[in-house]
Amino acid sequence: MYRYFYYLVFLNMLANIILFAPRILISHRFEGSMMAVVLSIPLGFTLLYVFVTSIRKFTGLGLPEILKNHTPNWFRIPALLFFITIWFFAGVITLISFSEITKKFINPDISSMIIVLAFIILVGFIARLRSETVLFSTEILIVMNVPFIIWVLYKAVTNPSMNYDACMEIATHIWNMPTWDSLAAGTYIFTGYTNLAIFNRLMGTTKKMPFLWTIPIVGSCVLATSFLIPIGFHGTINVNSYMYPWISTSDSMRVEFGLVERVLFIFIYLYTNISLAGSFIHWHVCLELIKSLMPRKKEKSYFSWAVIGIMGLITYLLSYLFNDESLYKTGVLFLNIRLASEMLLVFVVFMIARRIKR
Amino acid sequence: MKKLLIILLLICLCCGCGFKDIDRRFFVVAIGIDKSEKKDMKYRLTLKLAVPGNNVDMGTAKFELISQDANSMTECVRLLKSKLDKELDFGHAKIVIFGQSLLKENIDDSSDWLNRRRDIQLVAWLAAGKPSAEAVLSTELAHERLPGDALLLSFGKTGVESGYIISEYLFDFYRKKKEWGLDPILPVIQAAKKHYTINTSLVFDKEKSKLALNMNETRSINIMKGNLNKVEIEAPFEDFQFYVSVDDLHSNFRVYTPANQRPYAKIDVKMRGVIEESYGRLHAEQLPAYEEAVEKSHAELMVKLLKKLQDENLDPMGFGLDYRAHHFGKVEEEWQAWQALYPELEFQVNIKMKLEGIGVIK
Repeated sequence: MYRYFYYLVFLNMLANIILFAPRILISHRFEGSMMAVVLSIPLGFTLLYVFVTSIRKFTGLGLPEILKNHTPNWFRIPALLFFITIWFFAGVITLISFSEITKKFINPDISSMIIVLAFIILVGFIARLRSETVLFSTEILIVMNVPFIIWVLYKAVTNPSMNYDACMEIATHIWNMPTWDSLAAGTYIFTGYTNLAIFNRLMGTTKKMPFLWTIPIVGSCVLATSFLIPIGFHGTINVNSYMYPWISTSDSMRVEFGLVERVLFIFIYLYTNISLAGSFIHWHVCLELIKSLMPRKKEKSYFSWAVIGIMGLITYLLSYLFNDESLYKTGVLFLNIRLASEMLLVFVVFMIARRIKR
Repeated sequence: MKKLLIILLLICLCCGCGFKDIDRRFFVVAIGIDKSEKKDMKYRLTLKLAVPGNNVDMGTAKFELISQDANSMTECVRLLKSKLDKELDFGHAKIVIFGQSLLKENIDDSSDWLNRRRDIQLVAWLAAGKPSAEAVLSTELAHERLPGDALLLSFGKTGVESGYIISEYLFDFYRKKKEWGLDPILPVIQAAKKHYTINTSLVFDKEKSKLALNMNETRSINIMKGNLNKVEIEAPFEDFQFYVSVDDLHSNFRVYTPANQRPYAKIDVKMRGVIEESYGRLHAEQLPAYEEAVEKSHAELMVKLLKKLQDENLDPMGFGLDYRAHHFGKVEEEWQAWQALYPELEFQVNIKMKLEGIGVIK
């Protein structure tokens, strides 16, 4: 089952484009983004490695069970509530920002509220399924989309419009200290492992996760491409004037003999799948964590329906409140808090794992 | 019951397409922006609308041309809409032409509309229209299959491959307009009665068109930037001229700033080809001499062109960006250093011409 772990990690790597990570890195491109990219690879991977090796000591247990067995209630309940909020917002921001993109680039005539509603229903339906089923649907989505995403990336790096001098220019600004913003955006690509908090229940009995060394390699490729390709296409100065650097970059590619000449539409289709998969995983984890806080009745189906319903309602209301700018600001804030809370999560699990060893 | 509820819920989403049907839309295939001739107006917007026909044959392309003068692009479109019965759709506009008179002024405002609107493709081709964008768009071609098709095929090596055609995307122009150390360059489309001529170009500084390049200069720029696969070049040898058809071309450049020495830019061009025409008798064993003749004469032309651009402080090649890319330091400092350095820059053009033969006759 361990391949599902890699799907979770990989999915997050791809979904970083929707969660403003490239835009944050680009907005600080002369002030330490490159350093942030370089630093976030060891940092993100260390967090990942520590977390995975620690949580693998509890085979078949998720974060709620581990906390229940080893920590007192006064710690467990606030901690879980905090993580629930984080996971919930991870889904919310992806959903809302993607529905904004859909409205802008695919169908401007339709109200964005209807798009959000459609996404919420779809994501809600999948998020309330059993954990296995969620993983299986992720696998299908990844297998069906990733080859095309790789094709788009290949088209991008071999494009004659891709200016490597511009990428180099950004790379020469490596000696600036990164800001917390850009570091948080950079490490986001490794964050997929945190979903093990629930999915560790299904990961089988092998104590060690094989092929962990592939993650920093793939991660640095993903991070470099998602940060530098928009710069190669839109120049060192102008790249900052785009709201969605990657969407505009895909619009700048022309594949004459492709299915659709405008890569934009293929790209949005692929990323609809990826971002929906990202958000249903986050919501599923959120739902499972909520269930673990409930003493009784948690296996009743109306309970998960109710929780999903509330989550959907909050998302729907929030999407009404957000505009482009406030959504971006919230996204940045979310990523910043996320990095800190991720460190907290890793620390907690690591300490518990060390204690039981002694 | 549950399933029924779900289906009912899903039906609510099927409230019909947000789109207008395809027969309720006018597809704009080309956009022309001119300076208005009216005194109090800024722009004259010309749209080429495709009139769909039921067969796609040569010469059946029909189009409608509508124009409007106003003070802003939005206003132009708004006023144009009152002349039409269907909704305008800019999603298929693949050509944007600026009138030459407009380009002599600041074009920040007019290009803003193109980039800010979400539905205009960033991969639309940009060109300058001579004498005006409207004149270019109103040219009717006998062989056109789809409206606007002929211009589209001229760019980007899709149809004809000519050494004189510079292709520039909208996003590319926008990038170069802002980038430090890389200046935009646009092809000029000259409208004649029944055809277009695209063989010259305009180089821009950050605001407006600065320098017009003639045919040969445009071709030299194309060769140096490596935009081409195929190009025909001529070279003098002893007392006659011969012509080479190049079918493989690679080029790159780099700016060097050695200590205690004048900074220089090195441009390497590698070409392969065969001799296509000659006004004198050629000898197969003299190929190296012919190669050298090509290398020398074209290197001279290119250096001359680069000096000309340098005098005008224009940089369509992107030497400045290359300098910035290879220097560590603050952005502004790098840029100031480059601006001080560019007038001093020397150019070394190294052409490697590989002649495969003298053609099929001796």
